[in-house]
Amino acid sequence: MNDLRAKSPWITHYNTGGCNGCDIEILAALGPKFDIERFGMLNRGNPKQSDILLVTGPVTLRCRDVLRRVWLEMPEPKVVVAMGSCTHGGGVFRHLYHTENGIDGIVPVDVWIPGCTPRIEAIIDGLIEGVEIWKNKTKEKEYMVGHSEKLLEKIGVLND
Amino acid sequence: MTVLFLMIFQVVIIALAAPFFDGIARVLRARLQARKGPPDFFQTYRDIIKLYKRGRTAPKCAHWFFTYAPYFLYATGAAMLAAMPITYAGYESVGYSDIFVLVYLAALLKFVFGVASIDSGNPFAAVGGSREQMIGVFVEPVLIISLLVVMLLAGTSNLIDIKNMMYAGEIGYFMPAFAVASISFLWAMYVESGRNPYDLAEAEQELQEGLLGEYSGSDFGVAQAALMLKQFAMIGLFITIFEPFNLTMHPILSLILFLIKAGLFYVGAVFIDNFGARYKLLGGFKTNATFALGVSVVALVLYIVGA
Repeated sequence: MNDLRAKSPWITHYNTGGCNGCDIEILAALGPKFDIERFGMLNRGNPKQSDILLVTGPVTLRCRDVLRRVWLEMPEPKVVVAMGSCTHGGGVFRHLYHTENGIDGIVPVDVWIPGCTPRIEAIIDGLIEGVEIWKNKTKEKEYMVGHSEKLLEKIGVLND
Repeated sequence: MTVLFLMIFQVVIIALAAPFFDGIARVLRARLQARKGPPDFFQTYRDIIKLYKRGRTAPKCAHWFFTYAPYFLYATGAAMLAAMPITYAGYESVGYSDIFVLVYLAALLKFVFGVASIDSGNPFAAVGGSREQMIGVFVEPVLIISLLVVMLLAGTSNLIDIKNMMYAGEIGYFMPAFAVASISFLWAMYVESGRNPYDLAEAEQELQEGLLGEYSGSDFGVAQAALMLKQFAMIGLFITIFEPFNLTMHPILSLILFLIKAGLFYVGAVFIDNFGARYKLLGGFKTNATFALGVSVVALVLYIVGA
């Protein structure tokens, strides 16, 4: 059953203020030549329905809370894939006044894809590694009401 | 009792087979876009299984309606399929398989779909919901008028009686009103099924998928399966009225033949789906209102002048 599940991961892509280079590469990965639908992956654009959160860009201060919220909206099991140098440590935006210098302190990351920008082969490789991690996770207890509050308590973030 | 058993049997088989045709349509669509597409025809089964293994979420502001709507949608779709005389067409008239039952069940499904989307509190879902109802307002007159022509010609609204009259040659394509009504009904059916020129299933958020934007996990899986059932029910309505020739004596063979015919329509719609862009909202209404409604009114006029 888990093998069946591993063949249909859905992706949400979220750009936290990068230069769009990574996003163009992601679009190429959806296109005819590389086509990640071969692995059953779809780009859903809806965090509630997707399993992999693909983050690009250094996390700007404006994006920080939104990124956290997107992560909280995804029900378990989920995997975060950080793509590109910017997410790793800020990249060319490192030490600027408005960035968070990477995704590391914001949400827990499972897979890192290095490169500026990563090649499409690297993206596909990282996503498949993410699927391998995701396969071993199971769904948590469901909080149909107050789901995000419970999670916020759990990771120790105050609700605004 | 036998009829009830056959109804349940046909619903279960069609519900199990529907994702397979969806998988074929997905592969075909990918090939037409020069992509490789999903690994095989069973991708939709995998998606639904995966959705069952995920957690669910619900917005804080949602009511009980939001929680139970997917199951209600599924039940309504199943009730629509049960009303098709596929396996029990050889029996004497069954009251439940009636055009009015089907039309009202379709309207109920649309209503529940819209209300559930508005109840979720998601602004995109609310916009998508009202848009879907708007399309429904423009499609339903076409559906009703073309079905009205058939009912007036046959003198009954019972699907089994209509089928028997078709077999006996009392009504059929030799009547111009019937033939023209079939064209307008096919058009309206295509619009109802939510395909490309009128609706874009892959474009999420503000269009068809946006209605389900707040659903996740097993709720979403049930809702997707329900939408698939509804599409098969709409195709089945066309087939049972306008193309009812089937092996009525044998339930299983007639069900297989029905599945092949409905699958051809479902997969064949990809060829219309893939070429050309989607209409703008008002453009879709305009073509619907002028051309499709015009064709159906022509059918009605042909009936009135007695052609």
